[in-house]
Amino acid sequence: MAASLSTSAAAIMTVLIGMFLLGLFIALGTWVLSWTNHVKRDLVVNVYFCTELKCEKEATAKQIEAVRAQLVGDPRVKSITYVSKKDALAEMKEKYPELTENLARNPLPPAYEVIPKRGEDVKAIASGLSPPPAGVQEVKYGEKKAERILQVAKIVGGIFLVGSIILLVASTILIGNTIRLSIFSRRREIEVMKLVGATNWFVRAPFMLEGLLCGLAGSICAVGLLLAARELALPGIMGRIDSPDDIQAWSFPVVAGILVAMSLLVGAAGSGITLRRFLRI
Amino acid sequence: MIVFEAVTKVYEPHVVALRDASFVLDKGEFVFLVGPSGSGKSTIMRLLLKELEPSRGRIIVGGRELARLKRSKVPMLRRNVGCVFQDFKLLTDRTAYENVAYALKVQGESQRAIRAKVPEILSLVGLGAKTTNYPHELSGGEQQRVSIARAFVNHPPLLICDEPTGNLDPDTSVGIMQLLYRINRTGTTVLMATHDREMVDKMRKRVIALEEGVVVRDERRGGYG
Repeated sequence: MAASLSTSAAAIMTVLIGMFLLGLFIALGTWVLSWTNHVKRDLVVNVYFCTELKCEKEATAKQIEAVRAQLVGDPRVKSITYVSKKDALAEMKEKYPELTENLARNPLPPAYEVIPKRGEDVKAIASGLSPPPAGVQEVKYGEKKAERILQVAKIVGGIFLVGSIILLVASTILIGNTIRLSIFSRRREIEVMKLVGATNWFVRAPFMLEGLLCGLAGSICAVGLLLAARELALPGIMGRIDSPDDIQAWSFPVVAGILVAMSLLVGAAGSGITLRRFLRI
Repeated sequence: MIVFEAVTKVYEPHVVALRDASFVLDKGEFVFLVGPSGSGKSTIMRLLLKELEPSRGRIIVGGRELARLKRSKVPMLRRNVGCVFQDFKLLTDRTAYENVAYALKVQGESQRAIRAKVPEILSLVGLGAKTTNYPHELSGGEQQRVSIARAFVNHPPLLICDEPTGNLDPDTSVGIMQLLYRINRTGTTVLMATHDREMVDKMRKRVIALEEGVVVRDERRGGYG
């Protein structure tokens, strides 16, 4: 009995750690996904027009209007905002006051800020303006930024997946091991059960239940720990990160529900596999 | 009731436990299975419980061929075959009453039926006064009586006993034999593997003798040999 208690405790602890990490992974993963979506929403195509400095001639109003007409016709474009030389300088002054202090004149080009319907479309919209129409000096979009964000999301997602799988497998094996020891310590009773004609499910049910309870106990502890972490640690961390309100991880009850469901699955799998192997009836 | 038809059992890789064994047990018979250790007596018992599958040949119990019996039906077979062993196989943390009640509970009997049947069978085997004793508080003979009570509580048509007196002194053995004989008289077929020469000679019942897995003798009113 003492031996079986300590192995149960070991299995519960593993499930606890596994589920705690899985919970963190889910929270972090969904937060990053949400963040990626947010950044994608910020992706824009900037169309810079010619100035005397860059090209020979300044872009004419007609040329600017022609580009606008072309962009309006593009179904992927959500909206177009005209940023005049003055607006651009004002924005620059706000962001980098020390750089703009000594400017003799405004070197900034007028531009269109084109917001796509979907972040992924920035490249396609930009290539629609290639080669640049008359009067356009340069078309820029946050390609590098977008790709890096997607890459980070992919890596985080990969770690998320691999880590969860490893931990789930470890939990399954440990629960299986607990059940095996439990079968061993009750082998005499099992022998008698079989002798007097117990049905397979009558023999298996207590072990199945033990596996499920191990999983459940571990996940409930993990949920408690995650809740504590959320209440205690998260405010400290989030206070330092500039995070808009529309970036959200999945809500806690959803994550908790997933963890409990997963742990029940792990418990059932662990005991099921072991029963199949060691309780041939 | 029980038919063994040219049954051979080979334990891998090539230990032949039983070779071409054929015999028929009729309903209500009392049959001794004799022979030295390793002659195949226990193999026959385990084949009857479908703990083992024969390598060749057919075994028919109560009109059903065991090889065709589905795995899920094996518990039903075992409920119809009572088993008594040399080492009793009692649960040490349960009283005599609880050990017998356990078998009924496992088989899904109601509490009501259990309360009615258990005291009755315990007094039948002569333990009416010791129902609350734990196995370690009982003598070997008494423990074997508990195990017989457990095997017989549902009145199975067949009782198989693997050296039930193997651990008991001669006087106690006689008591156990008398109990088994009484059970046999109620119409239950009893198949008993034994080394007890004196007992077999005295009872003058049917004897099937095994040697190295071969049935060498099958006599209606035989002796140990």
